[in-house]
Amino acid sequence: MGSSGDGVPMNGPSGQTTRRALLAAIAGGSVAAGTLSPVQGYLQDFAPLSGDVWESAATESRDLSSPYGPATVRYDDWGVPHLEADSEAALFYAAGYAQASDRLFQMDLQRRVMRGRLSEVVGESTLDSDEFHRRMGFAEAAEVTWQETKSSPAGDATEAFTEGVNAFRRDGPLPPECSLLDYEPREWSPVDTMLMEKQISWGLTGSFRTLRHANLRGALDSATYDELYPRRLDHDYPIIRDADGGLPDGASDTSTTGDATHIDPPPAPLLDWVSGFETEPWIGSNSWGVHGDHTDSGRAMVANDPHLTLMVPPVWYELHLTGPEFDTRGVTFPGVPFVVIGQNQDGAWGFTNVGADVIDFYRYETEDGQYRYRDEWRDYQTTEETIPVSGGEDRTITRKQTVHGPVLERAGYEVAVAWTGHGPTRTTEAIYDYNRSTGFDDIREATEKFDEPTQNLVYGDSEGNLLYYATGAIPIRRIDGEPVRGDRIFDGSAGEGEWSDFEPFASADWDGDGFVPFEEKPHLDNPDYVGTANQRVVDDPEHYLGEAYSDPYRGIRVYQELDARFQSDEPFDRAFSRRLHDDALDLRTEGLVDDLRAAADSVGIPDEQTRWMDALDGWNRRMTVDSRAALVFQFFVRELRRLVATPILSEAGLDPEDESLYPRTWTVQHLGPDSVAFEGRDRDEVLVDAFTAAVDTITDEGYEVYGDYNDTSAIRHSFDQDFLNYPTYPTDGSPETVNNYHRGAPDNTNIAGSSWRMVVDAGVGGDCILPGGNDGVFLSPNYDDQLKQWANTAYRDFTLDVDGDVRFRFGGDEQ
Amino acid sequence: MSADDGVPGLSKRLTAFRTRPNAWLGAIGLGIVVGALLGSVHWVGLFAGGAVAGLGQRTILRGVGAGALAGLAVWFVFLATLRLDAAMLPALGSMPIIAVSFGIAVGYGAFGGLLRGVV
Repeated sequence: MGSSGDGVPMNGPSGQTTRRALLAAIAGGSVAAGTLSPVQGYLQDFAPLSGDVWESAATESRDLSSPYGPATVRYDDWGVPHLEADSEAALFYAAGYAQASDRLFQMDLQRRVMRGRLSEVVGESTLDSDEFHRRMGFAEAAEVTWQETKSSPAGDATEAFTEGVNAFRRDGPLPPECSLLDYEPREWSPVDTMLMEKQISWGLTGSFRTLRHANLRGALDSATYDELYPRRLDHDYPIIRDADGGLPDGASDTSTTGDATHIDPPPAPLLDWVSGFETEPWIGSNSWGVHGDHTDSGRAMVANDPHLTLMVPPVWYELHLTGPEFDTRGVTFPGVPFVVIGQNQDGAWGFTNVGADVIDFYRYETEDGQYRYRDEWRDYQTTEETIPVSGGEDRTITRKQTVHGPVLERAGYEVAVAWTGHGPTRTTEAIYDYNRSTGFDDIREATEKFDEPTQNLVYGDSEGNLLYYATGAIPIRRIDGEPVRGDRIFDGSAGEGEWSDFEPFASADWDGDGFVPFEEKPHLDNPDYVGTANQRVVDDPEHYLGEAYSDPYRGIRVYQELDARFQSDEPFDRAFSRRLHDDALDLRTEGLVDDLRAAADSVGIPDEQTRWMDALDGWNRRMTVDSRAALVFQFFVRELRRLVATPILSEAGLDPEDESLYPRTWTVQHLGPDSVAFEGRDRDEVLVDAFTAAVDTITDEGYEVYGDYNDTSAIRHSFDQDFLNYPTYPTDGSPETVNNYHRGAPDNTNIAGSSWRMVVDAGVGGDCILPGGNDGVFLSPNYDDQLKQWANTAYRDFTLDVDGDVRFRFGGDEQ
Repeated sequence: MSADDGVPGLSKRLTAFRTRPNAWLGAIGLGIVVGALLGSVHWVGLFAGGAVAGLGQRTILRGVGAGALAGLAVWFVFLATLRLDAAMLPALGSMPIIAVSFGIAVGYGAFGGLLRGVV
């Protein structure tokens, strides 16, 4: 046996050759393997130095050209871009570039959802979503909205923004998610920006409650339905508490019911399908404002925390626009150029959802593929579309539309949908005007164009003025000329419940007879203070607004605190608002905890569960991370709703597991022993059963305190990969506390909570925090740097100072 | 036929080079430079860097080890570049993809080092 001197034995020249060939084959094979899938993909994405995923980490300063002239983009320590330019076009070009560098994948993902192109990159699993969004015609709605907007100054800014997005798309590194999915986003367009407006509007007003309740009404006897699903929740804390406040003289409830044709309720397959794509019941928000006469600064104070889906990256993106007539800072939705919630040099504004009814449904008499509309038979307007599917067979669908709107269909049941968002809304123009506003009058004027979504606007200015306004186009539906409620399915063939001067995907006269006049919408000019938390807007509205208001717990709590402070000698300050944001007192406990303890004494509970019952002793009723009582109470309420609803739904032939059919928590909380819900059973026993079921769940999960359950682990990236998800922190709050956190379902879906907290002294600045980070690139130190503070209800500065190092410097001549 | 028949000059020069004091170290250093430069363009550069480091070693096993070491060093260079972008800590917390990048660097360096047994 010889050796080549390399320490490896060999057997003569032939053996040496064989060995060399073998080693060459291994080495060469490793390179060859790298060209084959899936190894190729890993190497292309993750190879150190050259991997596509790492490119997105680049944060070096870059000199770039802009067709609109000079601009700079500085990033502060929190990853917030501060943009400066001498012209609006240059400013928004830079804004588009910056947004794309931080959130391009999110922008593209949202666009894909709304255009029904998700399956193109994800595969067959999202076909239902694509079909729904195409049939609803969101892209066409965005197109007609752009036609309305493009000739306005907001349209010019949107075009410059679009060019900025596409400039980054061409020369910036692709987002890591695009590398992982191996695709490049298409060109951004102004219509895509309008599509973002449609997305948020649909998310806040796109409700199929009417269809669901048609089903409930059909399945339940009227006594049961009326008690478990009351039109109005019994409380004294509407947003506008003074009947005269802001309403025209003689305002009264003219929400007539009218005579309507009975329409068969929709079948379960249709409801199952559409329920996945509608506004969620836990979506809500808080805001309050205080007039400058009652603040320590003498300026109005505005606080806002919208409760939207919590996700990675956050639904909001913060930016600071500084340019001619612009010094505006706040948050926007990625893909939208302007600050949606925030402040400028003269004022601050925030929104909560009204819950108004801006959607209607129509059924028709049909024959031979036509539908009857009044006295004539009409062809459906149809369009054939193909949904591309990654790794699967493309699907072709035929979209249908009637005179009222797009048609949805399952199990042979067709219903047309009329939604205000299908019209040429002017919200982009309104928001643009908000950004440039110089005070109360400007905002009030701009609000006239805020056609969607219906929002509770709270605005305060540096002179102390305070404004509350219910924004958005609110349809007036009529039967035989009489206004009617919109909470039923209308007979479209008879022309019932139509909105005047509204043609979907074409035109709308927002100031005409088909919609509530601006001055007749609920509003308050310069109240002492106002609090909004998605509760009923006003007890006696002049027009039908809707009935999908939230349970009033947060609304009550906000007003309790505002009232107490107002009645004290202390003026309001930001510290008051920060404390109120942190308020975790849960009003669901009122009555329920005492009743539960009494029921336990009466019925008895297993010995091993007594420690959980004892935890409720002396509990301060706050949903805080270290509380054992909060833990058991949260699960108890969930079980109680389930136990109240399931026997009734089962008996009616409805799905007992469908939580969207459960009565509201407020209703369940206030059901007495004689309620129809407890017919044939004892309320005390139901309470105890709910408690024992709650303890069983807690024990199975191994929870000890509320923070074991109520944490940020449920906030996930759409890919649900560990390296893209956020870290886990316990956090206070429940779905019904001011400090709002809806932990969601066990599969980590349906997560919602304070998606942005802001407290501002108008014209000065204040405090803010995001649930995560401003940068959507996971390699950025600003990817999740605010999450821990958010979980602890802490804040960072929110001022109009321009801060940070220059990352993008744009040169070039102004067009 | 031996390797010397195919690339006689290269083989002889490499053999002579390997006898020099600290040649092994120089080869590794050169391999790191080659790996970092070419690896910035394409992952094959990691293989090339490992090969350069390995070819300067006296045995195949040392060649493989040197290739892996060069790959490891290139991975640290990679981390340093991330640090310039303040992305190093987020990247180090990004399991499993940071582990994949480590495996690619060390693995392809080692595969490159295998060429020591060919030339």
